[in-house]
Amino acid sequence: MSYYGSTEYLANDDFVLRMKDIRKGNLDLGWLDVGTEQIEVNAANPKRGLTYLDLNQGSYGYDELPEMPRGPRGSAPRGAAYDVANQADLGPELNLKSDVWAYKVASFYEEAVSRQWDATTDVPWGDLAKHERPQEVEIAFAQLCTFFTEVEMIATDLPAKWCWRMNNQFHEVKGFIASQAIDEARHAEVFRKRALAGGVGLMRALPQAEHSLKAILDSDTYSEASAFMHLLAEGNILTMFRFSEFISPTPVDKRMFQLVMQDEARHVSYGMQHLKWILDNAPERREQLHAALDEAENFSLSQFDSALFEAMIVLAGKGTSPAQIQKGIEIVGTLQLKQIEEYFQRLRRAGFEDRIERSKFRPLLAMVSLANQDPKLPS
Amino acid sequence: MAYIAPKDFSQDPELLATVMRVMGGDLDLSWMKDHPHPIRAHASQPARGLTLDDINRDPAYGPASIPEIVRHNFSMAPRGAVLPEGLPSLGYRVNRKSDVWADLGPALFEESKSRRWAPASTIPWAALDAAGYGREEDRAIRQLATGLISMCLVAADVPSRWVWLMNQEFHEIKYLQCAHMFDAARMAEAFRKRALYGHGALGRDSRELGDFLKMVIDSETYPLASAATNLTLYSFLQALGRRLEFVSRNAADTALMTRIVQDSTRPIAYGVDHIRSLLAERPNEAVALGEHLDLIENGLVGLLGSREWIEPLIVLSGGNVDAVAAFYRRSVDEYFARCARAGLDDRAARSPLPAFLNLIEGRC
Amino acid sequence: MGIPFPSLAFFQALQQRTKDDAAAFEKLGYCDTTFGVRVGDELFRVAFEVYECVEVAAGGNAAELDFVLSAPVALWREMLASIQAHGGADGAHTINTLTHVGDVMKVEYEDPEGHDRFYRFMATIQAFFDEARTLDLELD
Repeated sequence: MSYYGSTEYLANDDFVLRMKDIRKGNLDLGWLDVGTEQIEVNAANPKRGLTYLDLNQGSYGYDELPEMPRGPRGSAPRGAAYDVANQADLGPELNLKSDVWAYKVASFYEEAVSRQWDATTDVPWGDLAKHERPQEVEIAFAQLCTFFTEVEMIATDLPAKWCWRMNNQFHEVKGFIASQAIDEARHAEVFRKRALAGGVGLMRALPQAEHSLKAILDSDTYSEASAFMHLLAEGNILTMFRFSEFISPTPVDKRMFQLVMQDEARHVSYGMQHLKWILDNAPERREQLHAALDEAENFSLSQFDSALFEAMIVLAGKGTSPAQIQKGIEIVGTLQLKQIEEYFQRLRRAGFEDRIERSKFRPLLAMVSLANQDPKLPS
Repeated sequence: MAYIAPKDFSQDPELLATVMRVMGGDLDLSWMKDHPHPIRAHASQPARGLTLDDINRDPAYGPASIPEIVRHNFSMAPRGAVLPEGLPSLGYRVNRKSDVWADLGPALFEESKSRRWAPASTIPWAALDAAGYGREEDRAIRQLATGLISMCLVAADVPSRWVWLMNQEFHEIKYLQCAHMFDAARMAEAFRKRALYGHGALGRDSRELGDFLKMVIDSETYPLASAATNLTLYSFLQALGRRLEFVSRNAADTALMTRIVQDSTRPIAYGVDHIRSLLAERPNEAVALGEHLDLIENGLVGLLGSREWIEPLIVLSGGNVDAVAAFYRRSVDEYFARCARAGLDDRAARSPLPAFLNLIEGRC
Repeated sequence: MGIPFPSLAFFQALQQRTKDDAAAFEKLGYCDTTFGVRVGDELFRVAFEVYECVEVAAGGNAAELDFVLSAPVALWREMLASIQAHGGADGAHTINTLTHVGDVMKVEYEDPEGHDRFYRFMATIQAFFDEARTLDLELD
């Protein structure tokens, strides 16, 4: 498996002679004038600074990057001079722009770099002890945090699984994927810290959720994995974050959810824009994505895990008395409808509205008549 | 889809019954008793915040509870959670603690978050409008930046290649790998901006650099990849950051290279601690690591001698080859010192680097 | 004499706070969105660019905005009173809580991508309203 290069340099006469020549001060300097395009780059908005959008020019830009960049398979950055026949082939597997690209991805990357935060210091952990919580509420919150700790790492592992297989021509996407990896690691970190700081500790892992995570990780292509994870799963989690901020037992928790929410929304936006890019530029893949989402939605349905949903009901109702449980059920029912409505809205925005009729969510929700509604798109 | 659910849940009466039961108000609530390790972690130093080390003090949750060979959990369940029946395997391939662990890992992750910066706004790019370099020096920096983009993109790819294969029991190391991915992507971004700012252009790809980077990313196991990336690659990235800060004539390059140095030093610190811990646990691994670095360092020789690398450095040193040779000598000495600290104390004796230094210093 | 609410002067004062307290907003990162605040029947347009609020205006076309936060005057006043009493919104009066369940404050939007900007920049938008803690307001 290992690659150890094409040359043993110190045994190579050409190399040794080159070094001796350089030692004498005889430089070739061919790199001084390699004929690459010269452009003029400045920060369009000095307050924002110098962004990837400012670099989007000519052979360096992403607008001119074709669907099928022919030639580059090595480490050369986009726009550099390179020798097609003589490059070290890194073996990238994702070589079509539509394999990875999303509208606005350069903006998403810059936003991610700009809006980094620190779970260690940006959440006022010291204030947690100032707020009394009923024990049953804290237990339910610990269960919720255990679930979030468990699922968030899929959104580092899945992007990481594909990032190194992407051609270096797509460095904006690779950068965004790297930013998602650190975002999600930070989410797992913050929820673990919250569970361990509240007095209860970690609770029960959830097998049904895990099967869904395995299905995401094992997706056949990056785009199928993205549709499942970015659009469907993270969309659901985003709505759950909003819900969790709403039912948070303390201001400390509210702060935590405000911070994670903004990262999650960025990832969902990338997923929506990647889906839109595929449908606009590689429409032949529509059925493949349908098939992937058929099973993704099926896995999502299987995630009705009673420990998780009961915890949400206890949190929403703020306790376990019959009246509190009834109130919690109403709120959680509303949440579930909202998750599906927002998913449908994003599908429509991505140009995938024929998915809505085919979705597995509609018949089941209609069957159980949650809140007596069949989720439909708003007009 | 490679992984298929055992049934169509949209048509599953059992699921429907569960949903109806719970949403009808008949809650089980048995899970509320599943909290076997209550803990109220707090910040040991409030100014530092609540760190991973703070929450790791309890043995039920800290890394002390990780066995050398993980056999009990291949799911994403977090370390210390209650593991019910039916958790699937996520297919992790790196399940041995000494393959990844470094006690410094949690603190390095905290440091990486704390020392965040944004190339777009942290670097005073406008200072390059009067950069203070001659034409050839200007092109030399852009040429080096071109190679550094490649190096950093691959430095991001290496943790990407391995992190998803690591067992979740090692979550602190996984967090750190994600930080390394992000830091490297941010450095690639910064070098691209540096190469193109003003009247900019990228330079020429180096065949030798590409070969070296392919050797690094194709390392067969994670420990080999860690040694090649964190010890070798990052040592020379850090050295180059120091060199370019030294020759900087403007505030933008000074600010940029200072940050390159700090961001490339964290992976080095992890690499030293990781390899040292690995060799303490499994001394025989020194053989494979030594052989791997013999070959990786051959690739490094090619890079250090490539025209696209050494010639810009000579130009930036006023044409003084001795200055570059001395810089190389110092960088290699520091690298060998790190290898020795990690337990690989025979590098200087077996590496091709000393012979290369003799060559460039005119000693042979 | 305090600043009346609702009024353009109120939003101008908040806009100024994003400049006076620039470090706090820079720490939160880029925020690029133009959204609406509907107070009863009055619509105010609020534009953020990079870190700060660059424009506030009365009126405008809601369809051109990423999203509109819409609530009766009384609810906005209640939220602002909470911000002033607690140095920032208390748990019951954060923007997310008010807009989440029960729709006491509505999030109006036509484009789900615009809607997602509400989520993406929520910490900045919350900080924007929380700056009301520093203002002398007439809330009655």
